[in-house]
Amino acid sequence: MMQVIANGIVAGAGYALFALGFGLVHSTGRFFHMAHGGSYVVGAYLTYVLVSKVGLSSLVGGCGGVLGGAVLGAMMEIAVFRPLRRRNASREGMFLAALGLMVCIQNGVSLVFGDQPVVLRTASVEPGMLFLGARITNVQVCIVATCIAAAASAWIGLQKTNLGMRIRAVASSHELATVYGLRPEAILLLVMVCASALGSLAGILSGFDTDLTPSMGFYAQLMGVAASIVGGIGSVRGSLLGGFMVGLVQHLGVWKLPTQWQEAIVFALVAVCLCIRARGFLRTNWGTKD
Amino acid sequence: MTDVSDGRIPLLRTEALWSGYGTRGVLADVSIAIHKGEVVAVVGHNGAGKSTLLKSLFGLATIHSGRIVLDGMLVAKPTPLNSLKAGIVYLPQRKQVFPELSIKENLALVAQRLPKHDRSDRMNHVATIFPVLRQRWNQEAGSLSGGERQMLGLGLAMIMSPRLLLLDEPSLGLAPDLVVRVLEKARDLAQGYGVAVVVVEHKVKKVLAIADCAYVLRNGRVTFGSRASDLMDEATLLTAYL
Ligand SMILES: Nc1ncnc2c1ncn2[C@@H]1O[C@H](COP(=O)(O)OP(=O)(O)O)[C@@H](O)[C@H]1O
Ligand SMILES: [Mg+2]
Repeated sequence: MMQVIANGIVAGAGYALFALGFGLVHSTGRFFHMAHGGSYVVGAYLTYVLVSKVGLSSLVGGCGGVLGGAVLGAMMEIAVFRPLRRRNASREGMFLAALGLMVCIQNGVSLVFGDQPVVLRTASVEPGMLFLGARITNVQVCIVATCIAAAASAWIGLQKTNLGMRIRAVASSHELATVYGLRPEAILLLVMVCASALGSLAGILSGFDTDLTPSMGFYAQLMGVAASIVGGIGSVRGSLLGGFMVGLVQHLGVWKLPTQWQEAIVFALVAVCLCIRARGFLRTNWGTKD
Repeated sequence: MTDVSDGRIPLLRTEALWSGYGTRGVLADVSIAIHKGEVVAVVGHNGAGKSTLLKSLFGLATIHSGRIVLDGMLVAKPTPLNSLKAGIVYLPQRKQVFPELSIKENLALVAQRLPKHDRSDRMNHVATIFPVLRQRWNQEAGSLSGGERQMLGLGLAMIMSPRLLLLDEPSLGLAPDLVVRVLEKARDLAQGYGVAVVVVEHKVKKVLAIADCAYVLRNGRVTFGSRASDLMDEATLLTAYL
């Protein structure tokens, strides 16, 4: 039982990390960034190349992966989302464009690396330490700690700094932000870079925990979006809450039910939550209006 | 076109301005003059181009031809940043504040454009002009009533010590007595601080009561322009024009 809960928390931390970046983009750019999983999978595979092929240490390779994910995010913003926004594309249009990007990225990864899982874990699987009767590896501790640290920095950054205030202003209204001399496009690019760095970090950490497959980004996207919606899109605390809820429900559910139900349970949770709280549990009040 | 300048040099004037959005034309041959310390009313039907006029002056629309002259100097191509630097502030229709930010954050955000040492002075100054803001300092702007929100909007503009204030339908959604309060505040800013104020307004009679001069827009053209002394007698006439 404790093991199931521990697994749920670790998975949930990954989803929360994903949902954090996804929610940031959604609040400021006002679209469903369905290619956020692209940074996730690219960051993980890039780290795999840097660590397993180039021979860098895990830490350096991981930093390289985060950087790569951030650059990918910047490229998507500049080459796709910004031009679409300038043409007054609808949210649906942006959503589809992002989805298309995600498919391209996943296919690209599978072309280069094949569909077979690759292994990033360096050492042989460590037995992990015993914590309240559950076995947890160092990587898993690291995932949870990173998630909490990232959420705390995001919250402080957004609420307590001048830059965060500008980001919230742009999220509130692109037009009014322009009127007061802010440059929404620059802020949106910055947000995309930070969010993509978080997304690739989630992918890299999960890569150190389990194996890599080209479809890992898509799977994270599904779970991350679910977490985001359950917790409240764009809210830092909501991303945490939603991530942990999705992770726990998923693992507790599979404990009793066949594994095939794992995803179905998550979306049942989404449905139930939307019935109780249509806007998620902790949806922010910023960036939700037009 | 009626000349409303009496030979004085205006703070800003347009000469045969044609503008719109992208290639789309909205304003046609608009020539107006705005003087320091005066309130200029702009009235006209929905879709007449009133908002477009303000956006053209501020740099949010596309100028097709004609000239904008500020302080006797030609403005090549207005942009929001250059307008702010020149002391022009625009309060959009409906959305003048960031509802999700606190009142203090709203003011601090706009104050970021000022030199660091001026910021808290300006914020305090604005809080003195609009005492209601000080009472709600740390509350979200979204929790303000319509009238208070307007005051915050004006307060944000005043942070910048503007020379020209462009107000787009400040009375929208306000109760009648609040409309008067907001418009009188706009007049006070003009008289007390020498700000030139352009007010786009639906409530024709109320805005004429505080304005020094007025323009009527129709289908993107100025069909009427008049000095203050003639305004009140013209009120019925103006209403007919609309
Ligand atoms: N962003 C825009 N892009 C294209 N056309 C616009 C835009 N904003 C307004 N218009 C058009 O310009 C015309 C004038 O609009 P506007 O200046 O808002 O009128 P008013 O403020 O007098 O009601 C309208 O026909 C409107 O459809
Ligand atoms: Mg208008």
